[in-house]
Amino acid sequence: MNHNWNFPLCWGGEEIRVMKKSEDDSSSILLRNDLVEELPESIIASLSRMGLKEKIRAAVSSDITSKNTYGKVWLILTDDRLLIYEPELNSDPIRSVFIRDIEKVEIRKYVGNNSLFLKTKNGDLELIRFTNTLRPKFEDLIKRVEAVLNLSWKPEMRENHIVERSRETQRRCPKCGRIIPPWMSTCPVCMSKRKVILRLLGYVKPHLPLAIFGFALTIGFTILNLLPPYLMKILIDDAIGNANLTLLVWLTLSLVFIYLLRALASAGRSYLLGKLGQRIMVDLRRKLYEHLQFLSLSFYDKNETGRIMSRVMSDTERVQYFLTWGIQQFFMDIMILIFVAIILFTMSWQLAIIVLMPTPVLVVGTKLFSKKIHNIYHKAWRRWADLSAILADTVPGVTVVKAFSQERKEISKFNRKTYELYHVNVKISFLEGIFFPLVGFVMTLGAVSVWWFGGRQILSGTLTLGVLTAFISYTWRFYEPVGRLSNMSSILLRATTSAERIFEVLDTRPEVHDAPNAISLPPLKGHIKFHNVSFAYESGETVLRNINLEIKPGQKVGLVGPSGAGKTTLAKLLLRFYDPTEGKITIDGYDLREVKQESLRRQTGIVLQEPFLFKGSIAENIAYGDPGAPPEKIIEAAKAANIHDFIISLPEAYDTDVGERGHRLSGGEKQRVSIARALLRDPKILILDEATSSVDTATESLIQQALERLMENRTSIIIAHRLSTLRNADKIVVIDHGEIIEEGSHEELIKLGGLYSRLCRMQAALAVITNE
Amino acid sequence: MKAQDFSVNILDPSKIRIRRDGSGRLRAILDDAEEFRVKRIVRAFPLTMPWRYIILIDENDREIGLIRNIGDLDENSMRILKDELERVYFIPKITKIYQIKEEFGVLIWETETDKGPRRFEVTSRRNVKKMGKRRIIIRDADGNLYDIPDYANLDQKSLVLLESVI
Repeated sequence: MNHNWNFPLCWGGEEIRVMKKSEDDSSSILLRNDLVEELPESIIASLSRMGLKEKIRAAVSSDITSKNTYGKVWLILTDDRLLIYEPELNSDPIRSVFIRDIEKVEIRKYVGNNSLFLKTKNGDLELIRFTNTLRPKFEDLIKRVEAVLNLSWKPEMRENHIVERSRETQRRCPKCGRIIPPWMSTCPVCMSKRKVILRLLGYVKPHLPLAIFGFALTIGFTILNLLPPYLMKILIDDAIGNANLTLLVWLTLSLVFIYLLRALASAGRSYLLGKLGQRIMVDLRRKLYEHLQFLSLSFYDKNETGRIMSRVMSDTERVQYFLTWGIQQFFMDIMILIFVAIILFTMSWQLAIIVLMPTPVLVVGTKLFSKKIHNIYHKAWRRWADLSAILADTVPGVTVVKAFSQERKEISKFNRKTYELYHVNVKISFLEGIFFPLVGFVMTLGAVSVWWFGGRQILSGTLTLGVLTAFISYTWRFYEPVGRLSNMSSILLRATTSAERIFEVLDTRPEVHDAPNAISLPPLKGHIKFHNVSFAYESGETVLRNINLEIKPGQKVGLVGPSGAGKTTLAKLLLRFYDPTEGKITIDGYDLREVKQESLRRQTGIVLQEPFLFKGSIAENIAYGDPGAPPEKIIEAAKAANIHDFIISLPEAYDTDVGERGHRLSGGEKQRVSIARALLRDPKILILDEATSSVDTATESLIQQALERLMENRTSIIIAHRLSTLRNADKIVVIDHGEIIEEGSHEELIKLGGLYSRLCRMQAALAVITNE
Repeated sequence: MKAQDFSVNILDPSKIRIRRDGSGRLRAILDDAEEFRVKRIVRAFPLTMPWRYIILIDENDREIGLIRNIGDLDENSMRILKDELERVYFIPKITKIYQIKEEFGVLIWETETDKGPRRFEVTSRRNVKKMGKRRIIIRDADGNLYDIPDYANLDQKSLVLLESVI
């Protein structure tokens, strides 16, 4: 965590002690604990030559030189000045700026690098440049420079100034400094695999009888599998060799019996383990999905849909496979190895050693091959993905391709990608074609050597034919698990990675959660108040600043402002999808953080910018918020939303399937269905988020009518781009850069002549153009 | 309402001069008369045509104009502009690859670039992007960019290493 700011590098004129050791080579993985790094001798010498009296507040290195190459440049911040050193050029500071001359410090983002920019009384200055890798460090530095700049700070406050580590740095492992892959939450190198596996095993626990029974069958199967060669030995040596017919009959019968038992054990094992696996998967998926439903929106902001889906689908699958087959196979292979080795060595230790000889070759070969082939499989997968991307692009976009007559170009693009895939696949065939026969050959070498040495022993009379035959059989049974086990580490790695991803979701606590003493909201009047509310997203950017707003019951309030100004965020805070970073929001005097989320959302409704419909019939979609609603209510809501006439013109009317995400309806139709959905719920507070964007004028008036009806007798907040939507608003609030800049009625704001009046003029002009 | 003007203001290379002021910032002088402080210079095609179609933007975020090819400028202006572009666009060219190690799906590259040796991490093979026939653009985990203009020019060992990740 944060190290204190009382760093030992104090400059009193007589002694410099540098205690904090930092990673020296900035081009290597960066470890950063404080803003004071170990200075090179030459700079320390120069500092003492200058006889500085003030304390050093920060000393950091950058990684781009003034000659525009990689290399170190140092920035030293004292109470009085900023010094820049470039030891490779000059042992004295190449630049020195007095703190009192600095007006502003900022980082300018370039491409592939950044610069620390100073606005001073004597003009602007680019102080130092650094790659994006060092950006977090310099962001922290800026905070410290600002702290030193801030003269109102008392000396002792400066002394204890701590820079909060920026969130960015959390992308690197705090322990080892490695980058944490975006698909993981903790550093895979430092993650305890044993812990993950132990936790995974916890999921087997509820199904212990199944697992134990399955495992018992696995052991039985293994032993049964090892018996036949031994019987074969007796068969050849004693039954055939001694012409003992009774023994032959008994042995044949036992062999049949053993093979039957083996088949039964195998069948039982497949069934039990299959069942166990599916049970575990159902548990995991159910748990995951349940958890996902209750997670806050902030989780979904951070994680792409595709990634979440792959966690629910493929990660659970992989974990389940590992927990059942992977682990059992592992134990079985180890058992076989041990058993067979014991048998081999008791039968003939000389021959056993010959059998062992190819093993190292097999282990190393398999390891090398699986690494190589893994890379190429991955490559093939990428080529394959390229190809399907082309299809996913051009098939739906065929109208555009044809309209611009680019068929030939698309064909050649596809051909090129097909050929790339072809080359990789040929390479895979080649590698596999070489590897497996080669492995087979190495194994045969072992077996043939056994024939050779064993054969000679038979000829000299020290070994029987039966023993040799059995030996050869065991030899083959020995090599099989060797190959599988050499690949175990990568299987283990893949499973723990998947498990870790699942656990990450399960361990995420919803950021917005009901307080233990949360109360259920009584029926609302709809009196909304924002008390000095500020909000910043996870990424750190502040979206809303000091919002104070009062909306009286039944008022219609319009939110206006450029896109990205924070309008939608404000609405989301009101529904408590997020909690404000500062300040509070009350409805009828209740702080939103002290009420149950469900009781709040039961009385609020939202019509989103992009209406989202679920797979199912129109009726089901309208009744989404109240699945038990009587048909009359559904029709009423549809009528009020101006969509009824359209619905009954469809052959299947209210039973019409809207298709996935409602793709069978047009934008305006979907919008009206979503209005009906909000109407049916009869919310006390209603939020309309740009509900009329992207529809034609005729549809807009239909929607507008529907919205007017929807807003009657409710506190409504309308987020609008088209200001015409706000004709009947009681109050208009203009937001820009996260702050309320204007507030009042349409007429008042026009008279004010600010942003709103400007927006109005622009839209009026636009209306002229569109009407022409 | 006045129709908006979308035409590109292409600056006549013979009539524009670029110089640096006292604190090292760029100034553009048009027709030996108007002088602008240049706040930003932007490559319109930073990857495909780094030295052509350069847009100059003044302090009020207005476009001063576009330079078609910096080679058409007078020697001094060209040098200054080129120098500034190299600073704003820090995209080292990889000349040699010593190693590409994979650790838990993260590719760790050890390379030599025209700006000196560099070690960096790439979190997805999708960030090693092929552009055109033989050009490779790499984006590392921190968002830095690297360029291999023509990978056929790499030595055999570097090429083999690169082949394994594209």
